[in-house]
Amino acid sequence: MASLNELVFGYRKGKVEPKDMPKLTSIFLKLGITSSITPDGLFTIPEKDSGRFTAYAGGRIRFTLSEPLGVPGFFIRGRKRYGLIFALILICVIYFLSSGLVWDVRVSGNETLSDQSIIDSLEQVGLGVGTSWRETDNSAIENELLMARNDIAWVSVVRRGTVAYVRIIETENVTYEQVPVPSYSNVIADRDGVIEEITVKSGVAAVKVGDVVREGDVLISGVVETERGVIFCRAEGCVRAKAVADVSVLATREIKINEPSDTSLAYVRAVLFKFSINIFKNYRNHENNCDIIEEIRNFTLFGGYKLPFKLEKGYYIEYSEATYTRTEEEMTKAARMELETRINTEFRDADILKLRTTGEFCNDGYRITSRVVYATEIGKESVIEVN
Amino acid sequence: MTGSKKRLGIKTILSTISEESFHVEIKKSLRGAVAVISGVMGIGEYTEDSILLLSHSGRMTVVGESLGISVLEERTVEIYGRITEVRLGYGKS
Repeated sequence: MASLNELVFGYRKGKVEPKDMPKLTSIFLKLGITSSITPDGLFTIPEKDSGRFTAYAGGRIRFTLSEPLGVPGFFIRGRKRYGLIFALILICVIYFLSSGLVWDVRVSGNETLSDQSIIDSLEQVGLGVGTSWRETDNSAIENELLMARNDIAWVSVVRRGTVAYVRIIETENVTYEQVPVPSYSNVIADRDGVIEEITVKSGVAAVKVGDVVREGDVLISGVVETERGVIFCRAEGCVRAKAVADVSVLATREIKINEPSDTSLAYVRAVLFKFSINIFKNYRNHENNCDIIEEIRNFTLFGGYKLPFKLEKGYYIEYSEATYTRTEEEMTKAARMELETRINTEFRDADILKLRTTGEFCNDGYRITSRVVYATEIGKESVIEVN
Repeated sequence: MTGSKKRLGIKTILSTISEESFHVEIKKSLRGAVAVISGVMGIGEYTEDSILLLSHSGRMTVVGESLGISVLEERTVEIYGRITEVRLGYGKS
C-alpha cells in the first residue's frame, strides 16, 4: 500500500520475477530508493526515483512498471480532459476570489437606528457586500463611520470568515429641560396637615410647629417687611407636616383570566454543538395572546455523559379570555397584596407613623381600607405676581 | 555499535545484536515483529520464510513466516512478519 507521501508526490507499482527479488532489493539499497517489496515480487517506487531506477536496473533485472499513480498520475491521465482541468482552475479562482470578499454585514447593538441605515452608512465609508477584505481597513472604517454619524457613539468592525460583524453603541439623546426659576415666590401647603418642622432658607415663616394648615395656605412668605418697606424675594425652605390619607382597594369577586385554548407545534430543531437545523417550522402568526413553550431533549450515554446533540421542540399555547370567580380567601389575599403595593408606592417618600386597616365584604367583592398617618414634606413653590 | 539512532518504546522488545557493521532493533507489531536493520549492503536471498542480508563483514539470516521487506534510506531495511530466528554469519560476503 502506498504511503501518503507517495500518494501526494506520485508513485508507480512494479513487478519483478521472484528470482530477481534479491537483486531488486540490492539495487534499491544501492540507489537509496525507499520501497516496499512483497514476497510475490510486487513493489512500489516513488515517481521521482522511477527514472533513475529504470536507467540503472534496465539491463540487470526484468521488471515491469505501471503508469504514474497518485495525484500527479491523476493529472497526467487527465491532461487531455480540458473540461475537468478548466473546472478545477475555475473552482480555485472562484474560491480564491470569493474568500477575499465581504459576503454579509451583520449589525448588532442598535436600538433606535435601523440596520439598513447603518449598512448604508457603512457602504458610504467603504464597507459593504462585495467589498474586498484586502482593501478594507477596519480601524479606518470605524473612525470614518464615527465621523459620519453623530448618533453612533462607538463602533467595532470584526471579520469572521467572509462576514463583517458590526457592533455599535448609539449616542444617548439627553436633553436638559430649562426650568424657569421664579423671581418672587411663596412656599404653600400642597395638602392638609399639622406642622411638625419648619426650616427657612429665605423668606419669612408664616406658620409655626403645631399649626394646622389647609391646602394652599402660605407656609413661608416671599414678602418681607423691612424698615425701608416691603421687599419681595424667592421663599425657600423645608416644611414637614403630619397628614392623614385613606387608601382603599376593592378586590372584585369575578376577574378576567387567560385560559389556554389551543396548543400547536411551532418548530422542531436538531442542535449539534452550536449548529442548529430546522426540521419543522410553523410560520403562522401567533404573536398575540400566545406563549411559546420550549421543550429541550438532551441525550446521554449510560454513564451519564451528555452528548453534544439535542432536540428542541417549541409549542404555541394560545389563550382565550374567561371569567373566574374567586373565593373569599383569594379575594382577601389579593386585596391585601394590592393595598400593600399601593401604600408602598404612594408613600415611598414619607414616614408612616400609624396604619389602621379595615376590610369588609360587599356585593362587588372585598373592600379593604387603610387610614395612613404619615409625615412628609408638604411645601411647594407658588409664584407671586407683582404688578 | 554503529548505525541507526532510532529509539523504541519501553514495551518494545529491544534486541541489539552487536556486530561490526550491523545494528538491529526488533519490536512487536500486529504482523508479528518488525526488525529494523542498518548497514545492509545487499540481499542474498529473499523468500517468504527467510531473508539473507549481506554486509561488508558478514551476513544475517532472518528466519520466520510470511516475511516481507521494505527498503529505507541510508542502507537500512525493515523486515516484518512472524520472525522466529536471527542468525549471524561472519566473513567477507
